[in-house]
Parts: sequence; structure tokens; C-alpha cells
Amino acid sequence: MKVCQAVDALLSAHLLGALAGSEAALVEEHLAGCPGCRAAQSETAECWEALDAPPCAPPPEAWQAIQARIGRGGGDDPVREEAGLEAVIHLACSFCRGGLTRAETLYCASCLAPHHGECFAEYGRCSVMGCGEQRVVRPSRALAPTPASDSPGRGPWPLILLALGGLSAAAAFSFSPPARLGSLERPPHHRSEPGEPIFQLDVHEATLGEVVASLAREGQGSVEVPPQSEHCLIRSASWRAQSRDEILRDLAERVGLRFEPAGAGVPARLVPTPASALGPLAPEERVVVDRTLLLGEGGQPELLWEGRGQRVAAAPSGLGLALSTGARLYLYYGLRQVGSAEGATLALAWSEQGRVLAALLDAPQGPRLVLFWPGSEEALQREVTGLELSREPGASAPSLAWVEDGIVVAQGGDLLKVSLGGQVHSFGAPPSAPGQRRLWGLSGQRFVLQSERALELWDAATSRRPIRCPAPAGFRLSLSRGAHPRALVAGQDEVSLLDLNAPEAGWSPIAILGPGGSRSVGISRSGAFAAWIDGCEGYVRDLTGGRSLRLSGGSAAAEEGLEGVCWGADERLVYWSSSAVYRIDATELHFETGLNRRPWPVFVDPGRVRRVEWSSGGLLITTERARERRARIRLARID
Amino acid sequence: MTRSAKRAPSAEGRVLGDRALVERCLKAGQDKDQAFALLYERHAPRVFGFLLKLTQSRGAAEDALQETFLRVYRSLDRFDSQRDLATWLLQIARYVAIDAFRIERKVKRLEERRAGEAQESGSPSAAAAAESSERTRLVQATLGALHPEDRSLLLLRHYQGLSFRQIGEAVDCSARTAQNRVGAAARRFQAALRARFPRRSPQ
Repeated sequence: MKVCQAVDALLSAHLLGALAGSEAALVEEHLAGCPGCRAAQSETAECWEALDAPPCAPPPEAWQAIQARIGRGGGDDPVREEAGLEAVIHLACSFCRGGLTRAETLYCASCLAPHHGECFAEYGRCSVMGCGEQRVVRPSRALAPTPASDSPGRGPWPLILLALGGLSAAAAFSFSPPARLGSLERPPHHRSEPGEPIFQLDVHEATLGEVVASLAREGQGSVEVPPQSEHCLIRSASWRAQSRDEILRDLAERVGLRFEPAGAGVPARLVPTPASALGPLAPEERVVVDRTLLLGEGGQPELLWEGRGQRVAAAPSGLGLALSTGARLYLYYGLRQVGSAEGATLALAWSEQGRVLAALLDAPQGPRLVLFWPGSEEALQREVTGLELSREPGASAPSLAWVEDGIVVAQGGDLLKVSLGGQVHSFGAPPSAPGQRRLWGLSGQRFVLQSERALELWDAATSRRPIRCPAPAGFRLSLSRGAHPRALVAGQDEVSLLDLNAPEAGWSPIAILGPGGSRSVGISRSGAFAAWIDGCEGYVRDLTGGRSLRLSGGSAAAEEGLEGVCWGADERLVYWSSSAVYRIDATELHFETGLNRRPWPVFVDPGRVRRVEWSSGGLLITTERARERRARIRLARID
Repeated sequence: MTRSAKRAPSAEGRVLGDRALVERCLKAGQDKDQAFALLYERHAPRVFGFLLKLTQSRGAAEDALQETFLRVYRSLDRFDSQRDLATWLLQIARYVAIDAFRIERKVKRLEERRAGEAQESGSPSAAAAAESSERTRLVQATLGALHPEDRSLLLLRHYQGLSFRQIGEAVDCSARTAQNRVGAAARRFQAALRARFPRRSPQ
């Protein structure tokens, strides 16, 4: 009976071919042996057939209306008609996002966010997050048509400038003619003095290739860009500089490249650095933008970063946050920027208490290790000197991990421990495990080196050789901390557990995985609970009681496929689908009865949730949105 | 727009592919209007059918159709020729229709409009409703009660027969996510369907 109910709920999805392979196979197997469900399937199919209809020709008037609107100049634009301008500000209501004409617009008296009158009344206050103003203002002067600018090369640019986010509301309220907006305008008689910037570059959104091409047209000679970086997206950036090269140097830094000026017979070029390889670059006209948000306990997401190619590391406790753009590392403490350092970030690791950040930064002479104390009064930072790390071409990404009194560094063929006092200890022979390696710190002096096919347990206090624990190919790993650390591993077939205090006992399987294997696995910090994703379903297991529960996503009527799990402090579990993030407290789960409240999502995003991590300030969520791109660049010579 | 655009499309135009038509639309001159007219003639029935199902109002579908093709006309220079034109048109149509629901909050107005249209004895929808069975009416009502996002996903899959990759293109997500979303929408539809049509066969 219960199976029939479950299958019945899936019949429409099955007819549309929207079930995952394993689910579809289960449904088909059940239908083959259940006449009642087969009949129900036929009924459902009849319902879907009722929706069928042949293509329906629109009435001829529709085409005539389209022709008429096209004939009026490419479509009705009431704002354009009202203003009589070539360049106009397109206002959007902050509440409903619908278009606004100037006549109907009301502005928040506090933040000047534009609203429909109806929308403001419906919401009862300003709809901008954190504002809440209940009063509105209206424009008091009529907008006069502006004569077209006669400046050379200004044609399309005002429109581009006006599209810059955030300007619209303030610009509309200031009643400045749109063509005059922007900070570039100088009196016609103005001449640049020595030392003053003479170039202004504004990029609303364009690829690196497009921006460099516009600079190359302005300057002397071409500029070479690595093909793999041509489509790297530049957004909302502005430069004022004395030379083209100055802009190029900073531009290169922003995208993790290095600028080399033209030499004898060699054109200027942007060359890759190790950080250039961060993240896939956007294809031509379709861009993917990552947004990294911090979701606090209050549920309000705060945008930390937008753009692709960054690395973010949040301290699991404490208030530190490190953000890397590729060529520079920025350090935050309580969302206040307290420092930065030059160099592409190769690896980051926060200490267990979240007080110290170890960063491996790239430099021309080789990688350098820098320690930051962001919470200290002067936001101390110190570079570890005397550390010689090789940089082998094609070597796997370096990794850092904290142990009791220092940091372990795996870089190329090196495996070193750097104590806080600055002493460096090499572990002798290079790690035996080939391929990609990752370090995990345990309590005391112990650490784990993860390779493609094994875990190696090292003890930095002794010179003993590590204990090697073979693991399935391509496994995913999560480690618990504390006196009794455990390793949770998901391979292609099963999820297994290893007691790191008794590794000789070997792996204990705790769950069999479906054909898709597992994309994500996590063990709570105490080691009492494990969670993993099997195909598109998530499970949590009480490792002391030995019972498992399936994690729920979406409403009762529609389950969402799950993508990942991670654990925070206090045994709190976060799991996410492509569009929502859920949070539950594992200690409140009823493993024995399985009767649990379906959690509400704590975060929903129309794009795709790519990664979720715990930080002290809340959840660090990285989402991804793909959309069409339009190049918007303005390059002007100020003179 | 010249009068020539109102003429029946030429034989040459009929054999032109979508990409060639788009290229012609991007050129200035008389060809441009004629090519756009051909493009409209070729794709409007499919788009209109989709909008009709999505909005469930003939008037609203006509409005959305106009807006869709105006946006297409303005944005043709940004069309990626590697993409399927029909999917792109449906993507724009979907945005337009959902904007109509979400932004202008026309839902109530649509309800009134539908009711009004149903009462107009001569209107096509009323005639269709009279001919359709009780099942059809109820199924359409079930579909109409879904959230417009869900409805559009189900229509793209069932009515337009798009693959999950194409649906992903239309709604800006991966094929896998599109499959998940269609699956989720189908489950909601099935639950709503069961509320209106209790299962006849025993469980």
C-alpha cells in the first residue's frame, strides 16, 4: 500500500522522464507487478493527454500590433518617449522589479530606492533590505530634454554609464540630465596637470579580452592575453591612471595574471600565474558569476564577493575570513577588512581556534608562508623566513594543515613542518603517495596526508614512518577531531569508517551506495554522526546508535535532489540541493522513530548552490548564476 | 517596418534556416523586415500555444506574444547562433509570461479575464471549453493552480517536448537541475491532480 502511494506520487514525473535512473527503475519494476498502479498510470497519462493541443495560430492582429510597435522605433519605451532622450535611466521598482516610468515613481525618503506607489503601499515600507523607511519622496522638477553631447566618441557611452548598478536611484533623484552623469566630466578648458590621471576606464561588464582590446586600441601596440583567460569576466570596475600600462598592471592583478610591458621587439602581454588556473572561465556569451554570501543566524544573507576566480576560507571558529582574488589576499575580521597581502594564494588554513591564518602565497622567487593574526590589535602578520619551497611545474596544488605547535606544508615533493617559532623540519623523503595531496590536521602533533588512493597518518613529534591506509579510488574524505578521531570515506560503492587511533582495524562499512556513488560526505566534529549524499539523496547516521535517516529537501509533495553535506560546531548539519540550503541539529533527530520535522530551507537561491561551509559568522554560501552577457566598457582620455 | 513585411513570405524565405533568417534580420533594409516576418510566421504558433497554456488566457497570451517578439526584435544581435532559436524564443516567452505574473501581479486580473472570456459565448476559449470534457477542464485547472514557474517547466517538457538540456538553457540551469526541477514540478502536479481526481484503481 505504502509503495503504491509512493509510486503514485511519481507517476507524472515518470511520464515526463524526469526521474533519476534508480527511481525510474524502481517505478518500472513496481508497475510491472502491480495492476492497480498500471491503471493509475494510464489515468495519469490520459490527464496529460488532455493538455495536448496542436500549435495555435495567433490572431492576425497580434502581428499587426508588433509591426506597429516596431515601426515606432524598436518598441515602446515610455521612459525614452517621456524624456525625449537618446540615453535614459531605466528605473526598476525595488519591490516588484517591474519597470517604472518617471511620473509614477516614488522614492524611499531614506535610501532613494524607487518604488511603484502601489508596491510601497503594499509592502508598507521601503522594501530594500535593512532600510524599512516608511516615508517617500517624489521628484519636484520636470526632466528637461538634453541636447546631444558633441564630445567626440561619447555616442553610446552615456547609456553604458547609466547602466552602472546603483546609480539609477540616486541619478534619478538628482534630476541631472543622464548624459552628464558620471565622474569623468571636466570643463572643456581643463587640461591635465603632471601627475593627474589622464585615462579613465569604466567597465560595467566585459571579458578580459574585450577590455584589453579597447586599451590596445588606445595605446601603442597590441597586448597579448592568454587564451584561457580571455573570457574571464570583469565587472563593475573603474580605473583612473596616467598610462595604459598602469591600468593593465592592475587589471592583470585582479584576474590572477601578471603584466609584462612591451620590450625590445616583444609586445606587452599578460602572463599566467599559478592563481590563473582558479575556476573555470566563462564561455563566450554566457557567463557564470559566483556570489559568496554569509548567511548569519538571523537568516539575512550578506554579499561578500561577486565574481569568479576567488578563494574563500572562513575560520571554523573565531571571526576571521580570508578572501583571495587571485593576485591579492584580503583578510577580514568580523567583516572588517584588517589586512591584505600581495601574491596569488596557493593554500590557506585557519588554526583550530580560528585565531591565526596560515597562507601560502606565490612570489616570483617561490612560494612564501605568511601568518596572520587578524584579531590582534594591529592585525599582526609575519612571514616565515628561511622556508625554501620548490615550485615544480605541473605539481599538484599545495596544502597546509595546523598541528599543535605549527603548520605542516605539502608543496610539490616537499613535506615540511614549520613551528610558530620559525623552525623548519623536513620529513625527509618526499611523500610516497603520488598525485593530488591534501593535508588534514588532527589533535596534538598528528596529521593526515590524503592522496588519491590512501591516507597516511603522520606524527610530527616522531620520525616514525607514517601508517598507510589504502582507500578506494577517487574517495571523498571527512575527518572528526578530538581525542578519538575518525575518518569517514565514501568511495564508489560504500561509505566506510576508520578509527584513526586504531587504523590497523581497517575500514568498517556503514552504508552501501547506489550506482552514482557519493558526491559529498561529512562527519561531525565529535565523530558521533556521519552524513553523505548517495546519488541525489542524503543520509545521516548516528554512529553510536547505528541507525540512519534519509534527509529531506523541498516540500512534502516534492523532494529535491541533494548535492552536499557539511557539519558545523555543536553537531549541526547543513545540507543543500541545487537551489536551497537546509540546517538541522543532529542531536534533535529522532533516529529510532524516524519521525522528524521536515526542515525549512534557511536559504533559497534561484541560481545554483555550489558550496556551503560553516564559519563563525554563519554559513558561507557560494552560488552560481549563468546568464547572457553584454559588454559594457568605457575608455576615455581626460584632457 | 515597411509594408512588404505584411506580404506572404517568399519561396526563398521558406527554405531559409533559422540562423540565415536571423542573419538577414540583422542586416539593414527591406530584407530585415521580411526576414523578421518569416521568423514570426514560423515560430509564432508554437510560442503562442505555449503562452496560451501558460497564461490560460487568450488576451494575456496575445499581450505576451507581442512583448516576446518585440524583445526578440530588439535582442536579435545578441542571439547566440549556436543555440536553438526555438528554445531561445520559448525562454524569452517564459520570462515575459512569468514577469507578467510576478511583476505586474496580473494573477487577479487574469482570473477576472478568464472568467469574462468564459462568459463570452463567441470567444474561442469558451467554445473550446464547451467542447472539452470535464477531465480536460479539471486538468487545466490543476495546471493553472500551479505556480507559474512549475507550470512553465511542465509545459516546456510535455507540450513543447524539449530535452532537459534545452529546458536548462531556457531556465538558466544545468540539464540535471532542469530534470530535478521538472521532476519536482511533476510531483506537485501529481499531488494536485490526485486531490481533484482520486485514484480509481485500488492501492
